[in-house]
Amino acid sequence: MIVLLVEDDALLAAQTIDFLNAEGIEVDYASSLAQARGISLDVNYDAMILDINLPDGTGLELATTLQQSNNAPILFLTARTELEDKLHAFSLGALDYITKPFALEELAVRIKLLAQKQPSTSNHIFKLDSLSVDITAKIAKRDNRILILSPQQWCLLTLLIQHSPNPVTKDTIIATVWPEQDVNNNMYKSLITRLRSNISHNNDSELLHTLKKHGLALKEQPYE
Amino acid sequence: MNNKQSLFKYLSVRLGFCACLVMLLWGGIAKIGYDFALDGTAAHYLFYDAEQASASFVSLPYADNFKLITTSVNELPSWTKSLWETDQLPINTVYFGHHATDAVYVLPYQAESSKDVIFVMHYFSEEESPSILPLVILMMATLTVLFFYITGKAAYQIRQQTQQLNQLITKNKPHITFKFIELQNVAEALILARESERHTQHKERIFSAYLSHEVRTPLTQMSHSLSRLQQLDDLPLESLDIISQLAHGQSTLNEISTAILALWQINTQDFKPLCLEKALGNLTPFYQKLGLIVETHITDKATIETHLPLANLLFSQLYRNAMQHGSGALCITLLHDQVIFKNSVSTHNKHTQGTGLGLLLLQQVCEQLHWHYKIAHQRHSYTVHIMFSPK
Repeated sequence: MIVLLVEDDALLAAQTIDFLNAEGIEVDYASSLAQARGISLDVNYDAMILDINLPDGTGLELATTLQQSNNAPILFLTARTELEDKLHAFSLGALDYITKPFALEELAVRIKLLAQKQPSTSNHIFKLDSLSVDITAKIAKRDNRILILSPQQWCLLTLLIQHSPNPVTKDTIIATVWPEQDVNNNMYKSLITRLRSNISHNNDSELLHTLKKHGLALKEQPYE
Repeated sequence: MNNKQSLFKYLSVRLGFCACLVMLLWGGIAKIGYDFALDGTAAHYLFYDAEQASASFVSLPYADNFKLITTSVNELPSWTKSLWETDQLPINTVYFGHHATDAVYVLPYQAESSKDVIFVMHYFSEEESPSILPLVILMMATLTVLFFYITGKAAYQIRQQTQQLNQLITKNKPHITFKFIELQNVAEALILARESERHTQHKERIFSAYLSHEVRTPLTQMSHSLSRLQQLDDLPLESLDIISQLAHGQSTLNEISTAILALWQINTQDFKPLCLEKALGNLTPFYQKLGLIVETHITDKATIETHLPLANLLFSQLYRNAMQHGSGALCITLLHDQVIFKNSVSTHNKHTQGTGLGLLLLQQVCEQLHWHYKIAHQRHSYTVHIMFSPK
């Protein structure tokens, strides 16, 4: 998936690009209207993320131009909260709107959903209690909370989903997550702890259960 | 059409007219009174005639249709004579009496004790001398009607104008023309004050937006950095607690800064539904872990439209206040339109009366959210009622 990001705040853009790259989303970046027009000529983007306030114009103007050559869905990124801006953006074909400051995980999920355009019913969605994982789109949620998972956590979660509600042994986990790599116990513990704290916050019920000599299982009720 | 006038002119014209009318009427009455000697001038003319007679400018006895001047008692009418003989007519004193259809003034005049007494009598026919009372009553009635008309009309005009003044304030009308210059001046002063207030609010909004940007930018950077950190693999096990604390601190800081910025400039577009049962349910375990005993009584399930960070800030502050100043359990009662926090006050801790930053914050948050609050301090307990219905 490739998206166009037009944002004049270099630091915000760098963090966004790094985050989206880690989520498996390739990003073309422009810091101004002119740059964006230049780089977007021959590329078919899956989605476009446009800041409204740019040094040489507004993202709304850019949207008008880009809509003529590219049918990619647009997500506006702006500090403004006024209703007029939102209505104007939607009238220009924006499919979504996110107000700064925003959480990167929310942006990533919205981009993934936008790029899908028509959500496919063939996506493999795993549900357990209030946990919902779209393995195809790589979107994991607990209630309305979006989970940020590192590549290793995704790998482990996918493995656990494949075996759920049965346990997966420690050796299988290590072999799957760290193939051909020396792994110490702390690395294993760190991964389990992070995934567990990601899945269950505060009052959420525990879904990741450790069983002595059997490994780790993803299920609602712990083993007796 | 410019028909503006000063309130002073408006009232002085009308009241001046009224005063002129009084003077005219009174002048008329005085003239009638003079003609018919119905005022104090009668005595003057009696003495004048007596002195004339005493100085022999009038030959005595003198009599005409209106007066009688004589030195002889026998020439007096019998009733006057009997009055004189019974000492009811003191010397040099005007006597006024009625006889038949006449009003009669009698003056027994004696310039010196050695001289003869001169009797001066003035007759006035009562039929030709109308009573002054109906005139006075008529005049008073006319003046009363006129007075009420003028004051009523003036009051009506002033009421109309003040209503316009109210409209200027409440309906935020840009400009209204007033009849009275004084009210026009007040309106112009109000318009100036309103413009000045708008200007100040605009400046505050700009400053607030600037402050908001300056606060949120580093917070967003922290949040994004933490998100990036979450994406990284092979983090040392020891670092997880630190990252977790950082994330918690960042989240708290984010929420508090949002709430504090909202205290300054609240945006109603940020209002969202809040399930109070859930909100209190999220806070309670956190403070229970810190040692606070919380008893929650939920009689109704309430969901209100509010600014979430501000509401959370308020509730957190009340929990913290209870921890700091209270003793025993914090009882929270949730009704459909209000929440009641009640805790016991420690008798040993006399320097804490439960009034500090917490309640100042309570007051400010309630003002911003248009909530009512009531604080009751009994001997051993402290109760805070927060009512969600708008003021």
